[in-house]
Amino acid sequence: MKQSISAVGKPHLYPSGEVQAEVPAKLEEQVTAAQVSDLAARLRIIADEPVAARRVALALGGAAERWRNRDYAQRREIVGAIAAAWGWSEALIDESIDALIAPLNRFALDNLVRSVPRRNDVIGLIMPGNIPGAGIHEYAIGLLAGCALMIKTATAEPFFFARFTQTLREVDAEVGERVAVLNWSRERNAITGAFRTSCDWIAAFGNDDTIARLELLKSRGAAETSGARMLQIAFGSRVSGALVSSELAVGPAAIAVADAIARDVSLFEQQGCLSPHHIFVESSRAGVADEFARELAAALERFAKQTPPPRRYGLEEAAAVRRVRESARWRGIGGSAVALMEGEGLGWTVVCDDEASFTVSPGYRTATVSPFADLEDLKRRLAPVAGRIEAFAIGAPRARLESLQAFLTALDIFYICAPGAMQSPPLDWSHGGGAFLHGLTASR
Amino acid sequence: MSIYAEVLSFIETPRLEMFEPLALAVFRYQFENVRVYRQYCIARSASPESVRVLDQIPAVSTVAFKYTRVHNTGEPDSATALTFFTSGTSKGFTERGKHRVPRREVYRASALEHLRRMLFPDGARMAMLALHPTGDRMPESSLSTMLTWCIEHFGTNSVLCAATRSGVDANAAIDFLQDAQARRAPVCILGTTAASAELFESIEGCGRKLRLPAGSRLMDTGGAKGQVIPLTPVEVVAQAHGCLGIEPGLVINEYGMTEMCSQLYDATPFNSDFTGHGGYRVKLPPPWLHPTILDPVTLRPAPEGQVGLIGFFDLANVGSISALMTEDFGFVHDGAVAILGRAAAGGARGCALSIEKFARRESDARGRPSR
Repeated sequence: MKQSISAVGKPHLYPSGEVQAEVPAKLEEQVTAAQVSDLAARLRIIADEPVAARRVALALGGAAERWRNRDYAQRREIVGAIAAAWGWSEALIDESIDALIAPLNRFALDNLVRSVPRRNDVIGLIMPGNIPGAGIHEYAIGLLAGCALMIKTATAEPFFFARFTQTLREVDAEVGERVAVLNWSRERNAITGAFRTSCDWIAAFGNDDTIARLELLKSRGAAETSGARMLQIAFGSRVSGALVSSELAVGPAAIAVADAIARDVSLFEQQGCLSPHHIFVESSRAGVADEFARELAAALERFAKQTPPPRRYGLEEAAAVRRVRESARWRGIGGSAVALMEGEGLGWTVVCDDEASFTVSPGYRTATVSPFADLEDLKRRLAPVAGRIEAFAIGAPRARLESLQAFLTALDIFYICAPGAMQSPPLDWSHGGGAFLHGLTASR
Repeated sequence: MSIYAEVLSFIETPRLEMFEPLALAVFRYQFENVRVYRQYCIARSASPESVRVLDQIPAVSTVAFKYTRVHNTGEPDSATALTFFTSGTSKGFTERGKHRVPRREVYRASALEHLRRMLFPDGARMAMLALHPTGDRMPESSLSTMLTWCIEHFGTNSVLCAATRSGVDANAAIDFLQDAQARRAPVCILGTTAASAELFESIEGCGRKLRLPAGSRLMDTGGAKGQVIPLTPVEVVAQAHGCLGIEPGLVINEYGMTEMCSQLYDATPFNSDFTGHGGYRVKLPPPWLHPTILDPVTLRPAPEGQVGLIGFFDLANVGSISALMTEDFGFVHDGAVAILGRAAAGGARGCALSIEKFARRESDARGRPSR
């Protein structure tokens, strides 16, 4: 529950999700535009002092190693803070952070050292508030490239990067100093303007109106008058899905696939771009998708037992899930080929809809399952989100993976993985089509 | 006495202590005669035997009217039945909601009795300007039918319907209003908020100033629906005063929907002792309409003052389904309803929204119930 309702209201018993009192390392009240400019100037000096990529990799790997320990104090602190502020269960946040941190292993970091371009920019990162830690890939890549990072955390999620950077400083103070983590409210245009003009370039993620304000500032010519070199990358709206081949859609094999997809759906309460919304089941006969939908429902229920759904929801969020459920329920009652499966409360929802094209979910473990006859049919069903699909999981026998992967790649889906791996993309993942990596190689 | 006669009797002479027993009787009738409702209730383990109080009657989402045939097998088709369709603006004609009202007299009584209380408490009859097609022009619209009844019942012989399916003839409307002004004849303007906005814009655009005679009034409905840049309720009141000279207390917003035979109206000093709540207007239901707030997670009634999805039990819906859950947020205070906005449909998510979407979100007005 990260946002209050947008309409005029008095959300008495639905707290607005404001988390001011619990924000660690929060600088909102202290930071000024001048301080942001000064900080950027200091980061520029630091960025001009090269640091070996291998040393950065070691520091990042060391920090991640500490964060893999669920009892690590910094981790417990942010898990508790997010659980308190958003209402998510601690078990779910822990599972999600495990998935988030997984790619930050020494092997992957060492590999990246060899491929990442070298830069000495001061990069501004506007982090998203939809899930904790989103943007960690760009954080790691930016540092490995030799850049310094000025991070603006989201008001809804000011926790993760503040604490992770603290750990990085503890592991290697010199590497950690190459990162500054700030938080200020979106209304403070002067600070946002200073941030924008002080950084060499900015990558903006997330459900944060700051992006819109940045655009506004840009349109007013603030950047142009500053003389700063600017490259702004704003990640577009992205969704993910999954595909299950006929061989794995029924029988004992389906249970494992369903469990893995249920995990992908549930982690981060389905709030990120890597959360599958719609699962397409290859169906040579009627009823296959329905059978798989039931397996998925059972798997979501099993997962919910271990990682409970939120203790509370925002009003709009709850209403959006309710809307999905009621629409499915009444379409089914009305005779459409739609079946609704639902967990207790709003815990999880599966809609089996034979005719549906890609359906965007409101999140909170809400998935649509549909059959597809062949790849042409699947392509037609993906059309509504063409160009906006971030990732796809494929549950299929090894012999069929290559052709299915080629099919999805041709649709400009760059991260294709096995079910269960969706929330742990490799470090060199082409997030949003690889815009950040392109930013590192762009000439300025 | 049939259940319809009992409801009509209640509408004509409300006895509040009889609301719940009558509601339970209506529930029993609908459980027996509306197959899809019975199916839904059974799935929720609710039956006339298990339901003892009003709050236990399962509320049906208004989307049910879009996807199912809410058919009352206890009421054979008759010439007096009415069938209304929602405007279906978002999904096109195929997903328009349909509400069949077997007994028009119940709907008419409900509409007129509450109009009398809220829009014509002074007993006035006056010139009528419709900014929405009347029933003869758009028979499938419940709003159109209601406007026709309103004009017939509260109007004089000075009437203009300045709207067709294709739009509002603002010039004709302005001419009518100028004529009423010259004749010192109060006017009641009826229509959607969007049509009112169009009228205001036309008046401002042509530079003509109107000062309608005292007692003139405006009833708008539909909120942001159909407006590119929606007027807020406060702006409607201000513009009605600025462009037409209508007193703020006589600018009265209606809340209604195709799926429900009863309506709610703004409480103002003109029609009630309510003074609003929390800085904005509240709406008053008629005595035969019981508002409730439902927790969207549990679907259980929420305590007074808590924000949730607005639900109703509408006795006037006796011929279809009375227990409804809307997609609007609000809260109930002393029996009055504050309507806060429409629950958003699910949208694309991701690590980020595109910049166009951010811009759009700012102006993403929530429409009101479709009718």
